[in-house]
Amino acid sequence: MTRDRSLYSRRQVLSLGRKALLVLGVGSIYPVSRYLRGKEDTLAIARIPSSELPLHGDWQRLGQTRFWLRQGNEGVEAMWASCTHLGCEVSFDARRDQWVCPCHGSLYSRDGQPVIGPAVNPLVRAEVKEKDGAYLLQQPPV
Amino acid sequence: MDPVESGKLQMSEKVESNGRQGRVLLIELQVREYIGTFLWLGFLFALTAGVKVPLDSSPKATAVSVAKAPWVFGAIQWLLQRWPTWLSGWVLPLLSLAVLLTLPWWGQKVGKRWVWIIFLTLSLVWVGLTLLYMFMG
Amino acid sequence: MGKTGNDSFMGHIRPSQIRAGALRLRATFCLGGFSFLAFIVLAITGVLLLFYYQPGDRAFASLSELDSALPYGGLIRSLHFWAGQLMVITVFLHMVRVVWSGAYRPLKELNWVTGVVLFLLTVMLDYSGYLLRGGQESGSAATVGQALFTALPGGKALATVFFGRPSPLNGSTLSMFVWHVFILAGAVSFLQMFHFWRIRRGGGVRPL
Repeated sequence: MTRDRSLYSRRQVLSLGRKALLVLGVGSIYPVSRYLRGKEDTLAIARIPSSELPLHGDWQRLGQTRFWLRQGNEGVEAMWASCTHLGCEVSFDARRDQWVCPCHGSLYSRDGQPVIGPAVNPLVRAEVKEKDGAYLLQQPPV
Repeated sequence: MDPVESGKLQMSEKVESNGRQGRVLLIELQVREYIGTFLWLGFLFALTAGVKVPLDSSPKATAVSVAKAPWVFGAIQWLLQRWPTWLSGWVLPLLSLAVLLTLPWWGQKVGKRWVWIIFLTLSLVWVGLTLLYMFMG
Repeated sequence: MGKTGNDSFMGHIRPSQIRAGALRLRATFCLGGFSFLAFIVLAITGVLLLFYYQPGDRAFASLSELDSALPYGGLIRSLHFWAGQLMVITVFLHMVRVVWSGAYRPLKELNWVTGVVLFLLTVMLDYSGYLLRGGQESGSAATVGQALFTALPGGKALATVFFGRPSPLNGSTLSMFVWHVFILAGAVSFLQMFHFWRIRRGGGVRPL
């Protein structure tokens, strides 16, 4: 390979080009990571017109979410169906009148108090508001 | 270009007796490719920063009355507004595609110049229709 | 890229020497290269969009959330859009250049045909991408496309295979999503590789 001045300037351009691509690549790590983590801390919210979910005394699940609602003595109540042990999704079993966790067998009473199981903390209530003929629900903060 | 470079390239471009061109190292091309890449990327970022890409109308909003096709199908849409479907949507596009695909064989029959004329005419018609659709509905 | 011998990875993709005339700008105007570059940008931004885009009913909602609420979401979406439009234009201009320089003549007919198919796929990708935006305009665009197919005998089957069942207000469906992201883009990648290899096998770009 001859080492004349013209080839040296070519190599400079090439190495500059490679460095620029590297800078572009490394420089995009931060924006891309912020983009991919954009919904890290958002809480789940849901809205449903009250006519579509007639409530009664038993817990009912809202669609495919973790929000369960029932008509309480003092208004509408909502539960966030996450086990307080390790976070698995619990469901209310009407026949046993208990919340059941499929992961490690924790059981909670109708009002969310732990009965059996590795869970020691009660289930957390979700915030529910009635506005303009619809229920607005929000996941409880951690 | 400095004199050393131009001398080197001239030597490389010298046509040998059997008509083949001389060869240069790949790095010459790579350099140009890097420059081109950054020019193009710069243009892309300028477009992105300068012209906002709108979102469509939400499906939940009141219905908009104008049905606009994306510009790539503007030509076909323009034709569809005037002529029957089988012609505008199928026969004309497929015929044009068939001409395009068989250009090499046309070339063997009628020569390079006529192929260029056919291709140019076809392209100008389609591009023209697209522009017509874009600016005149 | 330091090694250029035929045994190295980069070396076997690029030749160590090329025809001198291929360096001239007017040999190619870099158009083939720009088309490929556009495809790379589209692939990268497309994958990033895949993290949040939801095809079907939630298409518009997921896109508007991506655009407004996600950091750099609007940037990635705009890059994807503009790279897409640029790709259609550069592929077309590349085709014009190829015809002008007669690079479709024997023995390059197969590569020419491959190129035309690639152009067609690019336009299809633009159209399917437009449908995936999920707005009302995409719904009408899908309706027109569907109508074109149902005008054919047996066209209803074809329409369902390509479009799924879009609503008139929302052209985004899981079927169109699969076509756009996997089938069409995959076909383009595969044909591109053949297209580049064929040029390399023929000794590279031959200028006028």
